[in-house]
Amino acid sequence: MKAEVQELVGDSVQLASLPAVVMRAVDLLNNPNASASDIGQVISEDPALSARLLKIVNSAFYGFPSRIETISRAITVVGTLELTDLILGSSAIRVFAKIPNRLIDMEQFWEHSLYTGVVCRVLARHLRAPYTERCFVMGLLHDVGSLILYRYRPEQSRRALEMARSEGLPLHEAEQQVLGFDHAEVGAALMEAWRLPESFIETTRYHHHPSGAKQFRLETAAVHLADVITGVAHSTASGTHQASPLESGAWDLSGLSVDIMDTVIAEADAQFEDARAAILPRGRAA
Amino acid sequence: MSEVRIQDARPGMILDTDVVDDAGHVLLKAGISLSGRHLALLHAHGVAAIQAGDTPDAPDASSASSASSASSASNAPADVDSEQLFRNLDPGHPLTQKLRRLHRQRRNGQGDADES
Repeated sequence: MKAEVQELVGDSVQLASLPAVVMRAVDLLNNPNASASDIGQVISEDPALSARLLKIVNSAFYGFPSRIETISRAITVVGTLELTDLILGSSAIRVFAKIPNRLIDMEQFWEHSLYTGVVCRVLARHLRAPYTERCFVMGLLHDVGSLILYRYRPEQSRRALEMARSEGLPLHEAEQQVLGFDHAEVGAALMEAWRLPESFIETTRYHHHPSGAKQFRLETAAVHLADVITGVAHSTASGTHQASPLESGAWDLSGLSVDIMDTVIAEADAQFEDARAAILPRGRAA
Repeated sequence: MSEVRIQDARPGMILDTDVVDDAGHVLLKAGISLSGRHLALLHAHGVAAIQAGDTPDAPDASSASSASSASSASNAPADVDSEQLFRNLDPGHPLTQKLRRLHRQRRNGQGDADES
């Protein structure tokens, strides 16, 4: 990792830290000796987190036929891994709500991220990938590095945004020119500091260059494709009003047909409002 | 409320009940006004019939607000210049061409006609 990225994340992680209870849940998830009930117990110790989680799993976005009243029931129905991922996603949004920036509209930022997450979830289902909800959270968090840059490198980030808009460069390339690194590297470094599972780190690091991924290649391709599709289908929130470049190898790897795109976007549109109601805080972070 | 065969469903009809897929996932929620894209989605999932009517039953505040925002969220704004939007995408790639057609349809408020 580049020293400057490490330094930047080292500074920012003081403020952009996940709540202790979330870190404990993530650690337990990474621990092969931990049981589902261990994770449930940790989550249940935090009433606010438990309530938020139950609200999410009972939302129309999940559409379970009967109401889920307890965390242990949620673990049974949703699964330990995917429930912990949901905690991660919703907690990360709250972390950044506390560290606003002056460069971009946070509501638009999270809408882009959320739509990307929803498209990624839809693609994962079409790809019959395991852990579709994990793919949702991967899409949701793929750009968190941008929020670190906007907050801690505001002047250089502003120049990169302007360069991207005026010269028609993809934002990550403009960031490379101005800063020497980009939001994908910063996001991956932050996720390392958060001790997130390797799949999150890999998909975030390579979401603009999925051919660079050495593992989780299908998931990385899904996040990449979801980002490109969102740039077109939900273009209000792209920041630069241009879709990210497509790496054709990711499309080939997916094995999808372009004919499926009508369905993918229709499904994403149909799920987006439910996802927003379930995941984004009311009153929105700004 | 009445059952409408999917081939008889038309854009603008209001769904009376949620439509779910075989796995129990909600595809479309009650209260929304069907668009061409919604109909394509239902076709794609093999839905044979829906409960729908031509006029909305007075929706409660939450579903009204949800339907309103969904509509604004799903339409690409006319002020985003299409060429700028697609400037980073290889114009010859089939996915780019497909996304460009879909973008044009969304901007023009069409849902179900492919221009290819």
